[in-house]
Amino acid sequence: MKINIEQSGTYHEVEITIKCNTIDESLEKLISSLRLYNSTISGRKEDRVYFLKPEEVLYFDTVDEKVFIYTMDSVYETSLKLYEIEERFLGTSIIRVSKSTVLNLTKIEHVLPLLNGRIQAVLQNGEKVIISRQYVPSFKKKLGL
Amino acid sequence: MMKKQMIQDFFLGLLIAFTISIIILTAVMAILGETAIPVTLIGQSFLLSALCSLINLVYRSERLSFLWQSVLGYILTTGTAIGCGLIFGWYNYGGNTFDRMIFILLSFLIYSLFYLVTWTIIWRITIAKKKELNDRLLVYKNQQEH
Repeated sequence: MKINIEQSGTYHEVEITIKCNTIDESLEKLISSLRLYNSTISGRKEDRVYFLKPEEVLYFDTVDEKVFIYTMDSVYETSLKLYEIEERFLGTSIIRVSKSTVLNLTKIEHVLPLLNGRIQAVLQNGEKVIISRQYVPSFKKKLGL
Repeated sequence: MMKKQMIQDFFLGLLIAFTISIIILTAVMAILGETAIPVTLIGQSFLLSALCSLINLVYRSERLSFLWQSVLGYILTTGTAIGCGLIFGWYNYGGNTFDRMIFILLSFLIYSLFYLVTWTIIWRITIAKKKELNDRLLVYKNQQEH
């Protein structure tokens, strides 16, 4: 693997281009890590703005057309739409699990399949999130099932 | 969206329940030596199937645990099935009162056995799925950390 680095004052943001024949599992992991690298999401809470790292986020949820970020001990509001969040974290462990929820899979403590084809995910802080029937196949595919 | 899903589940449940009830009805009529199923019985089966399909929506509850869903489902469907049998006079096919009581008891036991077998199968499948999912989740989380 060749790594080329071009450093110049003319570049205003970091741009990474990957040239490859095929994208294998290890390359997918690299791309996933790059997507999460230095990626923060701004969230508002009590008139203050916070910059949250993806690994702090448990899940994103939509309530009354507003999107909220849930961490272990706090809730923030973000101006991003759910589909924008989904696109930003494409290929990472943060995936859409229902019409109104995007979940960080690494924050799941354990899961429980329900009788109606859905899956209940119990998170590290005890909260429960439902993975709807429509998104169960993509969830299983992410786990390699 | 949820309402639409519930309606779809209701009609699917109705289709399955009605099909099963017709099969059971055919078997029972054959045992009794009858060569035809009365139309009223088919209508009553349809009504019972619709009620049971409605009761099945209890399994969509997010508040009740799997065990309580099963218990509530059992009580409601058993009560509805026996109740419909009494109201529609299904047990009058028996001879005297004692025969009818035996018939009611027998149908209760057969239904309970059927429910228990079905519940056990579903429970075992759920347990196996749970283990598979959680094992894979653990592997996935370990892969993400490294």
